[in-house]
Amino acid sequence: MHGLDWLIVAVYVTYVVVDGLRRARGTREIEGYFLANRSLPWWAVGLSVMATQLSAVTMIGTTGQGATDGMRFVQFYLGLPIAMVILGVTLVPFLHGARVFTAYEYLERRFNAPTRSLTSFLFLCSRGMSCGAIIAAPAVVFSAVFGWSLPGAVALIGVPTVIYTMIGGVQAVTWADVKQMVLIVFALLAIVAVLLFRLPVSPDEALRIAGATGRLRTFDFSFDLTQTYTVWSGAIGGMFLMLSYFGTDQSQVQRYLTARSVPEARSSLLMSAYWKIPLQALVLLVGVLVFVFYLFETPPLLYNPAHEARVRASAGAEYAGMESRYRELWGAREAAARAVADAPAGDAAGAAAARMMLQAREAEIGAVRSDALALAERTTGETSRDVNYIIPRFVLSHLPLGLAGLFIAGVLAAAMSSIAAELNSLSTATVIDFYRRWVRPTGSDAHYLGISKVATAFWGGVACVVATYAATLGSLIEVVNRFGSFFYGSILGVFLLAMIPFARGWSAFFGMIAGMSAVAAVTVFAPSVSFLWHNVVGAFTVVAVGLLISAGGTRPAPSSAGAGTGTPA
Amino acid sequence: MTNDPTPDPGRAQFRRTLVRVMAVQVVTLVLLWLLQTRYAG
Repeated sequence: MHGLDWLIVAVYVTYVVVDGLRRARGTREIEGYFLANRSLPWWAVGLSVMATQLSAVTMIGTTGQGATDGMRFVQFYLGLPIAMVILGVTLVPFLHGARVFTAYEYLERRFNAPTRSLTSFLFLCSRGMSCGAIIAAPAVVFSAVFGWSLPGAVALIGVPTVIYTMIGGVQAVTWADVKQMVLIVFALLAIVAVLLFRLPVSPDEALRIAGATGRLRTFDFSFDLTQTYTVWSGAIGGMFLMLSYFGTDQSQVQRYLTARSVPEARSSLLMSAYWKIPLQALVLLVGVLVFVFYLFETPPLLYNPAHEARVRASAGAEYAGMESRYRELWGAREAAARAVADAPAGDAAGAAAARMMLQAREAEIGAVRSDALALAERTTGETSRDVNYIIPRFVLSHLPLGLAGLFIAGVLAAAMSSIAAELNSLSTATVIDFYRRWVRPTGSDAHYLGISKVATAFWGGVACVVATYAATLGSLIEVVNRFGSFFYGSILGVFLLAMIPFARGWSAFFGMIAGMSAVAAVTVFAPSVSFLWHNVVGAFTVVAVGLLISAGGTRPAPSSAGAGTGTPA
Repeated sequence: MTNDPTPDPGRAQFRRTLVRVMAVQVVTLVLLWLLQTRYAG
């Protein structure tokens, strides 16, 4: 990468850290450190919510997924707008009105302390690990693309984020998120503009080519529980996942607890409802256009440069043979793509024949790529994940001076915004739900503020260590995601139960155990069921078991049913 | 429908926002659908 691009990255990272430190001034108590004294405008909170959810994986992995798999991933988010609306009229007024620091604090008021501690503990385990995975994903890519050591890449992403989060608290996190969101959207739009400018075909022809390879097939209406991305899994399973994520995950709840009022908190969530699907479509469209770009510009056989170098070194002859075949097939595929673009509008039969020819060439190229990926995995002993390198490789080879730096800064921004929000929420849950609740309930604000900063630094250290190991263990990120899907639906079930006046005491605690057990049973006995449905199973089991337990006991005391009566506890 | 003479302004604003959110989603999904039917066959 050119010196100017590195300068852009350096200036951006420095600016975020310095601005974070500047915003730390005047924060003397934990309400300011964790919740910005509940004073932030809805649009800043809304952008922070979106930035937290949009990680570096979105910038690198999802765009790559667009290039290889097309637009169908959009279906994953179909339930999000409905979920946001439901949260706007249910949990947001309860949590914001309850004046709590954490979502789990509310559960103690509604049920009991063990329920609060268990949910908070599960959050800490899950987010502590996923925070490491969020650092690991871009760190692995940076280390392969730029030839850095992995700990160096982890440090570049992790250290500045920990510094501004630790010192600046939620104010620094939110205002950095606002800048980061603007940078991310600008970088994506810039890439779309460059792609449209550099493609040798018109936008209409590019879309025709992408469509011929199935990459514009967004909607799948089949009701197949084993398919991860269908309209139904996205609209129903995805809605439960989003309800759980935005309604009960402290890393999200804490964003809208910083809003000035309940209407502003609602509006901040609705911003995601407005823009998430269009933004995700834009991200995937970038990938689709990069795919079309590489139909006319010779692509590498392996996009991961580190793997490519290792394969060349240890299986050079075999790889050279594959490359030669790949070049030959690429030429045939380019000709087929041009035939699709040039097919006359009135010639339906000719267009159909051209499309079939392109699909056949695409399948042939796919077969060679599969062989090369298998060779890379055999040679390196690592899972390939080549899809994550498509966009970085394109950016570094084909974007004009300055834009490459802007994109890398955008990836860093996406990683930092997600990590910062998670560290801030991990620190909040640690201090409020455990340290202040069980260890030292009567400390001064200055004391808790100091502990909060130590907790942020601690979780930052944990995340960096996990990131280093996640990268080398390969499958840990998958483990983290599966681990999360075990209890996301169950935690949502606890909050749903909280809104039913009849539910009481230990019903939520045992309901949650039953919910997680039900998800475990589905995982073991029906492993092909998509993980999005786990959230539905978990939530329904908790509510059903919770109500049964409540029905078996005595009626709750009036004071314990605040949530159910519509009055924030 | 309600006969309440003083409707809650927060609720009215939420309803308006809800209509806008759904309108944006419908427009986006229709665009994606058109993209699929026109280009993906």
